[in-house]
Amino acid sequence: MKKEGVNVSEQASRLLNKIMPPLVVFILFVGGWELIVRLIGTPAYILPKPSDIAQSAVNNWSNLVSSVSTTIVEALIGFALSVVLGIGTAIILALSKTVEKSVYPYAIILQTIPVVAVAPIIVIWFGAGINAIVIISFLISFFPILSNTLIGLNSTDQNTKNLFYLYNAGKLQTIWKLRFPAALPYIMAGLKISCSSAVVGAIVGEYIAGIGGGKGGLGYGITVAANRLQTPYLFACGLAASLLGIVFFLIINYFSNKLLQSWHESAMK
Amino acid sequence: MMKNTKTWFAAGLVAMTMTVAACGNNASEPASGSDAADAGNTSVKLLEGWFSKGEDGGYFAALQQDYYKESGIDMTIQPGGPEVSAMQLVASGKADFGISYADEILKAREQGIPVVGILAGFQYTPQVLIYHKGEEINGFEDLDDKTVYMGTAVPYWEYIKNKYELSTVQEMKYTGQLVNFINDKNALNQGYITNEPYVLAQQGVDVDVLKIADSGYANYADVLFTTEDYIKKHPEVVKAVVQASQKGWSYYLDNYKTVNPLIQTYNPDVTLEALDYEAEHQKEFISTDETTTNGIGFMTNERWTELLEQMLDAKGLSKEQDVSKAFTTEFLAKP
Repeated sequence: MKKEGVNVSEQASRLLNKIMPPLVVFILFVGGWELIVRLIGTPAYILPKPSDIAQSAVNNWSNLVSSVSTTIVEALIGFALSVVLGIGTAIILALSKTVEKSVYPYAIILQTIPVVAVAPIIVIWFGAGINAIVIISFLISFFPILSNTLIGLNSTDQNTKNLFYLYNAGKLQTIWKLRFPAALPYIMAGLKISCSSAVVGAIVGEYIAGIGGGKGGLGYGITVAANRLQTPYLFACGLAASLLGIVFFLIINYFSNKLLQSWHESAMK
Repeated sequence: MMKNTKTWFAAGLVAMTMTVAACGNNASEPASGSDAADAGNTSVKLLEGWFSKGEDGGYFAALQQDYYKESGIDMTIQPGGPEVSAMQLVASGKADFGISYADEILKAREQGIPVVGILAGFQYTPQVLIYHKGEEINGFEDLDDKTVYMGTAVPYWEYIKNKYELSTVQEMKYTGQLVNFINDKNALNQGYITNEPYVLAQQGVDVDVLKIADSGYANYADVLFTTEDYIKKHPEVVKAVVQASQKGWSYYLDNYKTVNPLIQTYNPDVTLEALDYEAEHQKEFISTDETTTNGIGFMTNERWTELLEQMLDAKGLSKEQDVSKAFTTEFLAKP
């Protein structure tokens, strides 16, 4: 009984110790920001106070929610596409050195072409709006997953590959039973990079291929706020975008830990 | 072993092909929509030049008041975006009609994009250069040694620099933000008479304007356009859309308060007050002696020719072209 009490208290204490320092820094930062801007009297369109930002978020809540949810949908679809095609392509490349050498350079080319330059072509092919934005989000998210997965699949321990060979395991069997599980840490790393890229990609897409109104997403909100000097709302959209990226990352990180915590050093406690 | 490899490879290829095909199918949807020309109403899509606003008020009025529907047109108005080109989308068939400027139409035609202006919403461009109230600027000739925030490759700016021989004006890229302009008393900024003065006044910044129209630049603004091909294949549709739009513009000029709530549903981040301000301040550019005599949306060969010459002088265009192919008034209703 006493032990249980100590454990609960200990856990709470540990959690508090973990959260308290960044929380204190956050409060000091926001408080300082509010205080300094108030004292200097800077206009809201130059640098809004945190309270201005909060107020504009409240005043424009339904529009903000509409923009955020549109961006979420676009980012999620782009990300899902990049996961499926990224991992799928990596597996195909890993099956044969010849195929890998033949195809991989074009993945690099795809990654290095500035998306802004090809956006007009994407808009013509897929139409302005959500289609084009998803494609752009996908293009920005695809390569980290492909690259990390491929490195992972090619990093399987040689001794275990030899063991599979001795047991007459097929190539596909080896991929599925050995190389893919062994590549999970790399795949998770790729996913972590890509999930926030997908959000940035969706917003970039909204700038260069998006349309206005309810389906315009945060890119639309940011553009209108900037154009109309609604700087507090501009900050609100920017912070919402950042929060979105963080949430995506935390979710991926959670799944990553779930998959790896029983066997891989990076996730063991 | 090799058999398994090939199977997997083929499966992967099929999966990717199906994914691409799925995207492709989606892309062809608008085209199939406009093929419904025979039964009942004709579906058409109109693509705006930017986010929805009062500058396209006539089209929203025609939509709201069922002028399109009464003409057998099932109209969809799609907002544009910061970087989306109505020109490219109409040219590639993704939209049937678009809204742009006469000078952009001439530029597009020089690039081989066969677009045609069919109605000029604005007889003169409502674009302006804003400057801080109290600054000694009486005309475009006073812009040397000033800083001007301007977008990229803006035809009227090339014309103004050329005409007024501006050599020491400092050009800065306008990024959609007005803060740089606010902080620099010596600065001018591109804008619309219907927007930036209102926005800045809300923040306590007083500005005056130089109207681009006063420079003599012969541009028509907010021109409804389509392709030569579309006109050839669907002349009845074009006529119906043009004349319903004219009625819409007439309605909007007097009844914008009725229509603006509809526009706001397409652009929810903009207030009704801003839309009303816009509607009020754009009237002088829409309704002129010319439109009283010849109807809203009227265009002349003289104006298009003058614009062409101005753009050639300013090197915005590099070769002569036949302006009579760039526009037509044949679908406009007489007043």
